Amino acid sequence: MAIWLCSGCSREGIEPVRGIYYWRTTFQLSAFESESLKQLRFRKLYLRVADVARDRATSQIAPRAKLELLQPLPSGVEVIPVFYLKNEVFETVPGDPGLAGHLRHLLAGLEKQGAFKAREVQIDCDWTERTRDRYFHLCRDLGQVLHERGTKLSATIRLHQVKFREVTGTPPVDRGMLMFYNMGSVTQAEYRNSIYDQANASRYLERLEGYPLPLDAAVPIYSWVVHFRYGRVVELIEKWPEAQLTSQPGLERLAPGQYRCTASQYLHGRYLMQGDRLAVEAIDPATQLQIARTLRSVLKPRGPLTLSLFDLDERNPTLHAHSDIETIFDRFPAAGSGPLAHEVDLGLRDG
Amino acid sequence: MLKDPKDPEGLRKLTVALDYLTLAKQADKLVPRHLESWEYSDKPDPATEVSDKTVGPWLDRAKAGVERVPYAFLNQRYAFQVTRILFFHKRPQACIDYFQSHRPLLQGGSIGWRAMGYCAGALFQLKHYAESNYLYSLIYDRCPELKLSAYWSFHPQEEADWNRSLALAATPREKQVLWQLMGLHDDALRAMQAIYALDPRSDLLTILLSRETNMIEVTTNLTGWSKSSEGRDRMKALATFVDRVVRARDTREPYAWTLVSGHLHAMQGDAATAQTLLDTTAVLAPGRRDVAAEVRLERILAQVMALQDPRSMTASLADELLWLLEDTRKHKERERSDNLLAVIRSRLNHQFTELGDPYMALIVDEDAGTSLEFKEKTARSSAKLQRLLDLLDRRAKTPVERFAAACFPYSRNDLIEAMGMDQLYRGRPEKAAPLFARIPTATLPGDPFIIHIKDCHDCDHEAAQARKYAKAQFVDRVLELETRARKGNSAADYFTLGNAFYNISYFGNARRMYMGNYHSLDSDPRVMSTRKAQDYYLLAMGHSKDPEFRAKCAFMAAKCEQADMIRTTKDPWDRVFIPTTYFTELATTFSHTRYFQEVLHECGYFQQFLDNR
Repeated sequence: MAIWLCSGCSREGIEPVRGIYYWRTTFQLSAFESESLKQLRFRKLYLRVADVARDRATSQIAPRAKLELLQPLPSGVEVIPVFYLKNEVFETVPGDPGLAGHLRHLLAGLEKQGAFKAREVQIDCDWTERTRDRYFHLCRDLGQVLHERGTKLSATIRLHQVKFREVTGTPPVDRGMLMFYNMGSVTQAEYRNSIYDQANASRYLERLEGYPLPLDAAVPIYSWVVHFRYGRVVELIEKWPEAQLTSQPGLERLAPGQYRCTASQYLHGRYLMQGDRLAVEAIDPATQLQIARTLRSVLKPRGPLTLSLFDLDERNPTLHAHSDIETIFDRFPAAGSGPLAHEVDLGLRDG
Repeated sequence: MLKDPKDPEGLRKLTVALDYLTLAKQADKLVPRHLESWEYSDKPDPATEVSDKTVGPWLDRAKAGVERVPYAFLNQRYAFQVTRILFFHKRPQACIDYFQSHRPLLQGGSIGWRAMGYCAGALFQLKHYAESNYLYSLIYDRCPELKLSAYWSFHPQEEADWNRSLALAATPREKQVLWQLMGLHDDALRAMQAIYALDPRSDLLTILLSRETNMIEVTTNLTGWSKSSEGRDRMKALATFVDRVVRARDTREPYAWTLVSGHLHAMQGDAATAQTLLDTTAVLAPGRRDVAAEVRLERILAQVMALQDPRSMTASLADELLWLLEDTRKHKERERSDNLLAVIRSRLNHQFTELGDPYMALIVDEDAGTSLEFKEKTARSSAKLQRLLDLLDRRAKTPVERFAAACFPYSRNDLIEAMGMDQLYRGRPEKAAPLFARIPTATLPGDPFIIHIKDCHDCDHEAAQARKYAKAQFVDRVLELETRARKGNSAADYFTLGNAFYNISYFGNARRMYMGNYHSLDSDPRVMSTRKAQDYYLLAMGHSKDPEFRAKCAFMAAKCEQADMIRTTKDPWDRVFIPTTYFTELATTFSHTRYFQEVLHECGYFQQFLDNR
């Protein structure tokens, strides 16, 4: 039996713990980013440490783009290292039975260089039915290795893995981080936001109740530009703020967020052909409110809940709207009726 | 040379050559492995970085080799090594400087171009994109060994650096090469227009023409299956330019332009204009058999695209299509003809579907792509199969029917086999038998008339068999048994029939029964059902007084019951199905038999059932 006392709990609900992801290959915060960390009172920093992928030539599993620390890690936030495991690692043989050990070793190196000790480690993997068993095997191994040193393990959970959880299963970890985005398909015809789309969201969320893991949630604050040619998607361009597009010669603004290329040109390493369309998909304040509300209607936390934003980057326009971000972090209604000031919970893994 | 002391020059050459080779081999090791290690630290990753201490001596040796070795051949190679080491040792500016200052020495041969490649890479790292891409274009044009590598390295970032690359071009040819690179990567039409303006007779044009045409083909809806008009605008833009060039007649290979123009007009359904252009093409390229072959294909395309109603296909077009079909079958390597044939068949398939003739659509379709649903329907209907057969058998065929029949990948026997299968699984073996009798049939791999407590199909297939059954013989035997069983009320015969029908279901060892050349009846409910087998087992049980035998029947009925439970469950994976009805019977009525003990011994589910009672 586990009994917890939650200082953020009250009759009115649970205040989420604020977290934010950092997903670049070098760790260096701009002044704005540092300020945002402080002003918005983030307590957790989910830090991508490395990708793990399979080398095409040798079929060997190896890390990629290990994080380069160009400045010390910020004090006053809990750093949670994240490993991004590409599905290909689990798709074919040979596997790597030492993978958990490798990750622990990487972790130790990071902790040494960053002068901190991780209380939680997260793995991010978009596993499928086919890779499920091997991935879960890694989860167990890694969990064991981490528990030995008193560290918890969490895993990202994508919406389709909630909806089809009988098929994709639930990873054997301590907590899940529900990634509350990338819901829509990207098509020009619908002009819907593929980062977050309410209609699409509800289709996945009806299965959320009774999910066997305690869940935190990650919410998008990024934007991207969808590049269309003759009605087809050519590519998704990340981190192109709309401001860059409005001032660019050879781009005609058709509507808010919609641009047409009037003169073929190279632009920031991409090629735009005359007639191509660019659609900026971002999370505007209204959508943010929607996300916040939807989250609160489907997530009924029984304990402390972390709400994390993706991602910490000054090129994300939403990060600049601090007041909007505050609304995301409003209280969550607690699970169950007849609330007590302190709840007694049975057999729960604590957060 | 080695052994001749009278040749000191030869000996010296050998010595310095070996010295160089030693350096070259070592320098190779200085290039870091491309796989990162599992080490995390602020020190350079030993897997991807090499320390100054290690590199220093070799760098010095290489530099010394440039200065001191008295053979220009080796000087160049030493200079190449210096450039390379500096690049991989992450000193791009030093690499660039060294290359620039030793440029005359490094000129010539692929080794010179490789050195330039490192310089270009270093420039790119330092974000000097204009110069970098310019150098890549030189390598691309003049060094065949590195052409592909240079192609992939070329990557302008902004219009500004792209324009600066163009400005760096020393000759019109160099400009054209840059345009070709850019055209192949990003915008072939813009590149063609630029090159054409610089020099209409440039030999760099035709590959871009081919490229842009391919891009258009990929996005143009030729078969009618897609509703989008994607490629149309792009095609119009190209057609406008091509027509201009055709009229001017000032390129190096005018036939290529008339050919493409004909192709574009053909794709747009304008057969008349296409044919005229194709005639011109033939005239412009006399004696070119490859061009003549292409023209023949284009004429076919033009006629097919202009054909609104496939039923009005002319005999001559049908003949040409039959030729195309034959030719493609004979020459599998001819991808172009293969593609053309696939497009034509898909287009006809679409047209027939629109006309409401699913039979012709199916026959003409390649590998039953879009007609798969209908094909499944025919496999479950002897009447539909008969109609297909009639179509194929018809003497007086229209031109399009002649072509379609030749396309159809299945034989008469395949269709008759399908009809036999359909009748058998409808529960009419007496109708199936005469059909199977007409054709050669596949042999069933195991003995379909036996059964065990535990099903092991592989075991059954590998076991020695006194007699093997082809599908036709199986059906004959079933009919024999049915007749005999009815006359004599023989429990044993009923039991054997139960085995037979169990085995030709999804759960049995004679699945091959429902796998035909034309179609397989996978997940057909008739194949999934063991009802008929169960009925026979119960009949057998009812006609016997031997408790051991009856116990056996009960268990086999239980197997059928379990099969039915699996069949009717939505997601049957990872579940346990206990056939309670007949297990109950087995437990209550036959617990005293030896067979009961056998089942207990072999069947875990039965044990589980008893434990839970």
